[in-house]
Formats: sequence, C-alpha cells, structure tokens
Amino acid sequence: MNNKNFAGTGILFKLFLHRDRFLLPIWIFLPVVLILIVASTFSSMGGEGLENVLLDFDNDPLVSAILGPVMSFDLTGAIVWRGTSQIALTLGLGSLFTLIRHTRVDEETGRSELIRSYVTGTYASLTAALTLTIIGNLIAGILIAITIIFLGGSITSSLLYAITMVTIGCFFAGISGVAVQLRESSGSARGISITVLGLGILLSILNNTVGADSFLNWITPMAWQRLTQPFAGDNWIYLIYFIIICALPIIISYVLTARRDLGEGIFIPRSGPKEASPRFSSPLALAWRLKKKNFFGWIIATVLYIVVFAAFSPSLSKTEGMSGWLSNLGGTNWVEDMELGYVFISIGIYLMALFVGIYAITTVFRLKKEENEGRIEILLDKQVSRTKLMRSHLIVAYLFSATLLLVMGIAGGLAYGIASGDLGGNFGVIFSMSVSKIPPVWIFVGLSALLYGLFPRISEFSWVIWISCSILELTWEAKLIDWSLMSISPYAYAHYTIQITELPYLSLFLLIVISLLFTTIGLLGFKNRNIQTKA
Amino acid sequence: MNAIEIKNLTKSFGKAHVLKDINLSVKQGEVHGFIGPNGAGKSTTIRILLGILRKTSGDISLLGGDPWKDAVQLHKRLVYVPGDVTLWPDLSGGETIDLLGRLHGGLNVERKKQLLELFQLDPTKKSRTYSKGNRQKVALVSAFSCEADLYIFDEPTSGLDPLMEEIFQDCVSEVKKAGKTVLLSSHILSEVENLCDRVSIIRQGQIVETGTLDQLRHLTRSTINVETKKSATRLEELSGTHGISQNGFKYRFSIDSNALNDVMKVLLSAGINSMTVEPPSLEELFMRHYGEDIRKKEEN
Repeated sequence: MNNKNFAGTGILFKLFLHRDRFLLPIWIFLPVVLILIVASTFSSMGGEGLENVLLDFDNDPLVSAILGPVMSFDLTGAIVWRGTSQIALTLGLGSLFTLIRHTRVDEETGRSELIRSYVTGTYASLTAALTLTIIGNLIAGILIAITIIFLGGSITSSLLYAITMVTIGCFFAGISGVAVQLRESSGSARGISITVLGLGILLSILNNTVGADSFLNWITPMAWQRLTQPFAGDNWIYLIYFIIICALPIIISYVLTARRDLGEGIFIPRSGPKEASPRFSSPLALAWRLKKKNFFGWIIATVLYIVVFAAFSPSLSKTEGMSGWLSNLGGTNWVEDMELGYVFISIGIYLMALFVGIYAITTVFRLKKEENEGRIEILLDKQVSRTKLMRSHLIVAYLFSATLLLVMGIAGGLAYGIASGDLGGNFGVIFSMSVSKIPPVWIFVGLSALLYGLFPRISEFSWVIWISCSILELTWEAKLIDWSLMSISPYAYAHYTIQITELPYLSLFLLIVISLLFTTIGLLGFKNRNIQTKA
Repeated sequence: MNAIEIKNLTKSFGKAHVLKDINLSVKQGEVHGFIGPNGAGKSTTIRILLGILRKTSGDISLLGGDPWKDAVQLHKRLVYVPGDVTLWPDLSGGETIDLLGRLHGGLNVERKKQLLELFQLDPTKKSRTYSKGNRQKVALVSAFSCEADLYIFDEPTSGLDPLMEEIFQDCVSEVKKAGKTVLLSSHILSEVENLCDRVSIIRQGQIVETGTLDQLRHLTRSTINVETKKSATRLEELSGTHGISQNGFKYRFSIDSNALNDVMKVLLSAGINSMTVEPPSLEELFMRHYGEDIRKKEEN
C-alpha cells in the first residue's frame, strides 16, 4: 500500500464531517428514537405481563410471518424482534446516502476534480467517506447499546446487538462503495444500492415466513440478528463472518477505484440517439422521460413485494391463534368483520401505500430539482408556460402513483387468487384494497404541489406531514391515540381495518377534491412567482 | 418600433436592489451589445425580458408585448442562449437540441445538420459527458436552427475556443443580414466590437452609457506613442494629455479626443521621427467606468 494514495484523507474527512453536521445526527439518532417507540409501545401493551403478550404474538402465525419468531420474551427481546428491521433500514439508508454523497456526487458535480488537483490521493475521497460512514454507524451503535442497557438489557448482549446493527450499516456502506464505481451518475449508484437494500428486506420477510432459521440468515444482513441472537444465547462468533462480508465490498471498491478515471465509471457510458423520437416534443414527454427509470424501479419493487405478501396470505391468515393485539388493533375488533384470509394482505397493501406516498412527494419535487439545477430556464424561454411546465410534472405524479397502486392491486389480486385457488372470488377484493389507497396518496401530490408552488423554500414540509401520518399510525396501533386523532391522516379513510364493502366513498371522493384544490392553488402560486435561477 | 424598450426598470430580491434604474432600447434589426462586469445585473435584466423573473417596477415592451403576461406568445418569436447551460444528464445532445427546438415551435432540420458540422458537435453523446463548451454548443445549435425575430444571448460563448467563437460570430452576422434583432450580453469585448451596432453599458444595476461604438469611443482617449527629434516637455502643460511616460525622446501618453490639435502642434514643433496612434478600445472604455469601483475597493 502506498501512502501517497491516501494523502489528504484527514482534511477531506473533516470537510465531509462539516458538510454532514446536520444530516449525520438524523440517521445516527433515529435508531434510539425507534427503540424508545418500540419500548414504550410494548410497555403500554404488556406492563407486567409482557411475556404473555410476546408469547401471544409468537403464536400468532400472521405476526410471526412478518416479524419472525420472538427470540427472548422480555423487553429487550421485544426490541430486537420488532425494531431490528427499522434500525437496519435506517442505518442502511443513512450509510448509502452518506457514502454516495461524498464520492460519486462530488465527482459528478466536478468538486472531486478540484479536490484532486490539490495534494490528495486516489483513495482519499473514498477513504474519508467510508471512515465518516463507519464512524457514524459506530456512534449509532454506541447509542443503541446505551439505550438498551438503560432499558434493562445486559451489557454484553446489548453490545452484541449494537455491533450486529453496526455491521449491517457498514455492509451497505461497502455496497454503495462498489455501486459508485460502476457508472458515472450518482442516480445509478443510488438505484443499485437501494435495490440491494430492498432485496435484503424482501429476503428477510421471506425468511420470517419460513420460520427465520433458513440459509437466508446468512444471505441477508437484515436477518443477521438471527445468527448472533443477542439476549437469547449471544453467539459472538458470527461477528467474524459479518466483518468478512463487510470487508469484501469495501476491498472491491478500492480495487475498482484504482482502475478507473476520475468522473468515469467502470462501464463505458452508452451513447444516445442522434435525434429525438418524433413524440419527444412536449414538457409532458420530458417529465415522463425524466421519471421513467425510477418509475420502473418502483413497479418492480412493488410487484415483488406484493407477490411475496399475497402468496403467503391465504394460508397464514386462515390458521388459528391470532394474537389479541392484532385482532383488537386500536380497540377495534376488525378481524371479526373481515374475512380472515384478507387480514395479512390488507396490512401489506396498506404499508406499501404509505411508501407510495414517498414516491408521490419525490415525483412532484423532481420539478424543484430541475428548478434548482437551472434546467427550467431553458424551457421557460420557449413556448412553454409555467402552468404547462408544472402541470406536466403533476400529471406524471398523479398517473404514476395511481399506476403503482393499480399494478399492486392487479399483481396482488392475481397472486392471492392463484395461491388461494379462488381467483374470481378474491381478485376484486384485493384489487379494491389497493386502488382505494389512491386518494390518500394523491393528497401528498396535491400537498407537495401546493407547497412547491406557493412556498418553494419550505416545500420540504411535505415530508413532515408524511412522517406525522406514519407516527399517527404507529401510535394508534399502540393504543396511545384513538381513532378521532388517527383520522387526521388521509390514510385513515382507506385503512386496512376497513372492509372493502364499507369504504367511506364520500370521504375518499373529498380527498381527491382536496388534492385537486391544493394542486390548483400550487399552479397559481407557481405562475406568479420568480423562478430560482443561478446567478 | 423598437424590439426592446425598457424604461425605469427596477428589480429587488428582498432587500437586495439588483436593478436600480434600467433604461434600454434595442432597435429592430440591430445587434445591440450589453456589457458590464459580473454582478452588474445583465442576466437579471435578460431573465425579466424572458418572463422568468418578475419586474419590481418600470415599463417593458418586448416585440410589442409584455414579457410577463404574453410570455408564451412572445417566445415564438425569440430564442435565448444562457451563459451557463445546464442540460439533462441522461439525454443525448441530439435529443436535447430536438426537444428544445420543438418546444420553440419547430426547428429547421437542414440548418441543424449544418450547424452540427460547423460547431463539430457529436449529438450522440449523453449530455452528462459534455464539457462546458459542448453544452454551450448544444444551446447554440438549437437556437440558430430556430426561426426567430429576436435573438437574446447571455454570454453565449463562455467556454468556447477561438475557432468556435468565430463560427458564433459568423452565425450572428448571418442573422443580422436577415434583418433580425440581436441582444448580446458579453464581456468578451472583441466580440462586441466585431458584431455590435450599438452598445449599452450597465454598472451596479444602472445603464451608464448607450451609443454606437463611435459615439462611445468619442468619450475616451487614444494612446499615442511618439519619438521626437528634440524634447517635447510642453506636452505636460496641455490640459488634454494624461499619464505621460518618457524614455529619452520617446513618449507614451493618452489624450482626450478634443486635444488632438494642440498635441500635434507641440509634437510638430519638436519634430516627429515616428508615431503610432492606438484608437480608444472598448477595454479602456470599460476600465474608465469600472476602474473607479476597483480603485475605491482597493482604498477600502
């Protein structure tokens, strides 16, 4: 190893740390928040009889199909059982975004070129970014351990659990380290890394449905706590395996970095067509083109997800032994009203619909990105009015988000129908479950349009609303709030506890009207405001 | 009727008064230079003309219409090239040119092919891989392939090499020959000197000078290099001479244009061996307007 290849790493590390001083704490502290939410939920549910509650869950075929078996029947066990997937997701996303932000994004924007013209080595950026990401994970790990010890976990088991979580984060740092080497765009690196992350989640769900002791424990990091078994045996030895698995992609990323030019990828960029196709001639065509790739990614993810869910649903939901918590969610006895087979899939569809809300927001904000990066200046000097430009992006947001739910309904309906052996009887119900989520998702299109059009600087507030709706859902499930508060969330009107035959059509119709109203106001705002331009 | 008529235009972003008082008229069929240093308000003025930014106050007529209200109709008749073109990384250059041309209302395919040749641009490359100069070329090819009455350029040749700069100048000359109007913002002064009929100079959000190049030259000084047979110290007594430097009987100094007669009398009496006169350049004009700002800053 040659020292000059690492020159400047320290300075770059300080620079990256400074640039991330607000972002880093978010994903470092989020696991603590998640643990506290899980802990308070279970404390409020079980109190003294927590063991019985967990036993009840463990016997519930439906719940354990999603979360796998409980490994130890106390508060720490509940945290590991319920919180691991969220913590792994947080650290995974935090790691991959941090790493890509300081490597490929810097190369894409030309900052790396400037940096490399000073005394900095080939590996400096990658090393500094990896160090930052790994240190971020380590701090998150320390906080996780302290939190669980504080909640009554043993020191050694808490540490083992925390280290397991840290290795998951580091694994995804390594994966994105490889992903940034492949192509010259940061979007492609993000796409690859998130795909791996999504695959990990999917495999862990699959693993849970088969009892969580399959070979998948070795394959997907999202199931690594099943190997080390913190609070339930503490198998430290597996950490060696994790460290090797984490080191592999990191080593590969160094090898690839050395073999490519700055700004280039390992794969040679494809050239494009010499002329545009005749139909590529409107802002709408452009909006579609800009979002196409991302959209197909979502379609694939949605279909994979729902097919897995739907295929297992019929057999799972019909079995006896549903836990009291699930059948008495938020104080309702919804399971009595709903046909038993639909319980599992309706939750699955609901969860995905929440995520389609994220898709809706990001799709609207693509226009914001276009504005910030100075690309709408060369459109507005043409025969393109502001209204037409924004409308194009909104049409795509409305259509694509609805299409996602339609596709989920069709794929879920087919998979469920085939798995249950009664396609004709079930398809319509599953399809309606999915399609009924269109109005709440559209609220996020309308809301984002309103904020972007009128107050572009605070348009990120859409995310606050989305997160609030998710928190409402969690706190309602934990019986901390009642339905009247839950019904602030647009998702409440197509909630998974509501039977398809009893959907509140008027409310859903009103949601669509509100969304369109928001959109109209947003369009008017955009029509009358300054466009942000580069100086 | 003038193609562009701006009266008392102001523009503020919050407390920042970017444009204080812009008065600008561009006649039909002329190439009008718009010069000034960075941050003087050139791009802001142009973006208001395009209806991308909204004016704070003042009157603007663009091709007889209101650039904010009638933006879309007016844009049929104009094309624009910004100084820093940002493109869609995933689109090829060819796709971008076609899209922009179609959004304008159609482009001349034959003309586009010629321009791609002239500017030596490979349209199959993804925009992500283009250098700054090549991104400018994409915008220029698209603009010159379109039919328009008014061409607005905002430092269009930044990043282009001298060969391409010349091709740009040829394209503008052609456009001018066809009787179209051009507003060319630039700080490449040779470009302005070669192309422009009239020039407006902007400084700190105000137009400080407008006129033909000859008129503007009149405001500034020629530089004289002269070698005399005997001493010509009387030069220093004249009111119109400035910055005299002497090396033996060689003198170098600048003169106000109205002092030429007096200077020649003194020189003739001293006997002239050789003499060159450098005409006032736009550079000097520029420095005369902005040198003051720089000096003030240095004092602070």
